[in-house]
Amino acid sequence: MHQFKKGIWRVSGGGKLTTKILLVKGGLDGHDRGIQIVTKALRDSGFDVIYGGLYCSPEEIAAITIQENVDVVGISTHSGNHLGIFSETIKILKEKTNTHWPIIGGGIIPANDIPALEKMGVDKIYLPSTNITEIVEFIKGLKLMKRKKESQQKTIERILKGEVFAAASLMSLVEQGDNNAKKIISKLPDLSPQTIVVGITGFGGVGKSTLINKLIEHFRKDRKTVGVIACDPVSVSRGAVMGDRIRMKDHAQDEGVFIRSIVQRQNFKGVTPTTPSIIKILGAMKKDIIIVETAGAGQENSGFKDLVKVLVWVSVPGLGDKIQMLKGGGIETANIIVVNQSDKAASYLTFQDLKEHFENTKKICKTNSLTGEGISELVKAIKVV
Amino acid sequence: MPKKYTPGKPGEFPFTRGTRSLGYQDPKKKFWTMRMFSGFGSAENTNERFKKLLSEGETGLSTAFDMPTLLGLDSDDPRAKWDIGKGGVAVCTLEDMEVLFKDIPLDKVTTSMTINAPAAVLLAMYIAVAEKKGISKNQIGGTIQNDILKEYIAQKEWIFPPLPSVRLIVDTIEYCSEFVPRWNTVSISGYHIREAGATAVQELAFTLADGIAYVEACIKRGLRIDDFASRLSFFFDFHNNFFEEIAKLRAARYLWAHIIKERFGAQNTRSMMCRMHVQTAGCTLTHQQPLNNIVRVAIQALGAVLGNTQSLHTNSYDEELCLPSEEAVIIALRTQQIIAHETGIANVPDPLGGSPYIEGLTKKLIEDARDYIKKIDDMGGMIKAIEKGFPQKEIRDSAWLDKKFQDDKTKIVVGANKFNDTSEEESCGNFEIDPQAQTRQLERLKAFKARKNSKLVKESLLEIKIAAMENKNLMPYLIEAVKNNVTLGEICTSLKKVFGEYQEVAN
Repeated sequence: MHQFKKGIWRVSGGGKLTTKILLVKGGLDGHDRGIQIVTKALRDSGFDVIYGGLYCSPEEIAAITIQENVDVVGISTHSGNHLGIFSETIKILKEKTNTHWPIIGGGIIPANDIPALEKMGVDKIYLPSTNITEIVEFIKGLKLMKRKKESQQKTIERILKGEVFAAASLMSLVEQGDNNAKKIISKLPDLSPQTIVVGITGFGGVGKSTLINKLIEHFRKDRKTVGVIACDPVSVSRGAVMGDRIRMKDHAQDEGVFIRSIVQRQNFKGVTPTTPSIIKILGAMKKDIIIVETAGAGQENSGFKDLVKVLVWVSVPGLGDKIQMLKGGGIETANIIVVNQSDKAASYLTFQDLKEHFENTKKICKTNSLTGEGISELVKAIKVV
Repeated sequence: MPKKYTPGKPGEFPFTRGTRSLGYQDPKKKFWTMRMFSGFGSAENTNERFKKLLSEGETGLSTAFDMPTLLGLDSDDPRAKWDIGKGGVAVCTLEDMEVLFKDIPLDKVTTSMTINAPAAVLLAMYIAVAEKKGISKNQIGGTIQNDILKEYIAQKEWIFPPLPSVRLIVDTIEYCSEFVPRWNTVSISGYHIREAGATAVQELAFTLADGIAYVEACIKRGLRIDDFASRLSFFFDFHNNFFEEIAKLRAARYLWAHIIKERFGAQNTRSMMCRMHVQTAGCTLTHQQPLNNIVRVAIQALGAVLGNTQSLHTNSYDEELCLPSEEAVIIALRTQQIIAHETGIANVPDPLGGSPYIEGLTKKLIEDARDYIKKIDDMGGMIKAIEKGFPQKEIRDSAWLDKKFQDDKTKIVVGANKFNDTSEEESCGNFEIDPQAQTRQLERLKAFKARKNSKLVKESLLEIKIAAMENKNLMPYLIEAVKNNVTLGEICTSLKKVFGEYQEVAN
């Protein structure tokens, strides 16, 4: 793991820090050969990469930057939109946080435009054929953002007002094991009884993030505010790629939605040891619904249920041997079981199997997370638990 | 497919040695179509570039649209804001299309349009513009790229999910087979697959597997193979490994001919011809010492001709930095003209045929591509393979390896990772898009929307939606709609409501 001597949020008593980088394609651009290579290279060098996906507008880039409280923003563009995308992103970040965020860029960018980009606050532009180690070394050497210290009381007030930047910054401090942050967390109010904390678990690839995207849509129509904690596993290199966000992109700009990606380095009930604190911060921001997504399912998730009020176990038809499926992932602790991808022919059989097996002990729902079919039924079931 | 590799003769099945017996000396069409991919700013800017290129000896047009157009968004859509006219030309309305082809004889010049997800709409506009000029749809000739599968695989510019997208493609194929007989309905593209990092064999195999998926979809619709296959065309990259690339083009013709004949039972030999457009490899160019790119492009273009392409785009030396400047694009065109008129390379058909090295490489690529295609068949075809992320992953792995070899200098890139100590940087990459283009485009669109008949627009959109839901061929409805001044964005928004939208898959 890379450790930096200087860095934001690095306060005495802080734990280990991995630099968090957001990588996005800016504007309407699909050329992703470069960004995919950089994503992998940075992960392999031990960084945490949040992959924000294709077609990100400056508003979306800024929103993700702030919510995830990343250390570096990397924007790739090959469509000639760079001047507009970079200047607008920097402008919005400045407006919302009054801070200069380290920004790097890459793609097809005329040499003549580079001085203008640097002047507007871009730290470095990488043209094609850049040696990857150059990028890695640059990020390692980058002076990370310094933040003004403020009193605990002030931070608490800002979080209670729902300020995204304050909440996101505190989450980072929590992730670093900062002692001051622990004190702040202990002073935050407990979750209101009305807050619904929903856990979403299930094996990888069953469509958990896409389902959450539809749940958010539904809750927002209902005028409920939503917080999401999306958990991804760490790779062998100790770096991680967090890509769940791209499936929830419809809500990137919605001020009523806060999405935070976390990396599971030590397994704690299927999530991370910091998850309870992050839930508490989201609760203090008065999010009506808090959704926690696990990094995947397994026996070790059995404690996950303690963290949430409602546990939803997501499965898909044809996942293999029925018994095998029922054994793993703490399905027995779930309140609701979802058969996702209801458009698949086998979904009826899976649905019937599960109904038979659990009889009336659990609610079984069928959903299609692409079309949104069955989501209102699922929401109803969540509210009833 | 036969066990033994037999290249055949030029102009004869399986067309390994070219589709014409006289090669580039065919009196019906000498040489190849010199088709330079162009588009930027507003329709006026691109129209001017088209005319300039034609006056300099270009023999076919090729249109680059901007990103909003490729994604079916009008220029006034908030998401379009930073990309209007940047990577290509903005076209949202029939009026834009008319300006784009102003004073260009559409019955004499063929036009290629690099457009995929909304290709049917742009084709509808092109037909409508031709008709306004008094040219009927059976006289026009050209190509729409219309190859959505490689978008999911490589270029990542999509609108709808795979199934309705392929249905739209089959609609265009069905419609053109009957009414626009000179139109190449799909340009099945390996170019983007290769540029995304694929190897030669991956480019070859995935492209042909995409082609198989389209043919299967057409047959499922009830079309007869010989009624549409002759209008399917291909688009390949020409990369740096000279002989392997030549062999790739030959292998593509061999494989496609056998696939169409044996797998799909075609009778007409024209159906079996893999006719192709080739573009030199953009990803081999360097921003360092950019004049070196002229040499790279010349060598690649030479290879494409030796590989018997029907049509060729040569990249401009400044493309690693910006859109091609006029000066650079003329040099690129001149490169083709020098090969055609000065070198004598085009004097005999397939001069390399019979060389043990070339034939051996061709055979090897055929075998390797066949294995890949078999793997994709076993997955249930290309659409299933894409859903599994198979071609995407294969390409990503190749791209990663290629990058690794460049970084550790196993692979030499002259001027970039070796021989790169030239202190003086050449001045290029100065091309600036007309700063007024965006305003002009937005103003024209605003005026267009203000004066159109909104009742007619609503009716057209409703008809499109119903036809989409009832699985009718959408082409007549789209042509009617663009004539009624419905915009590209309005049509795509309506279709999204029926078809849904495709979401990026993270791997």
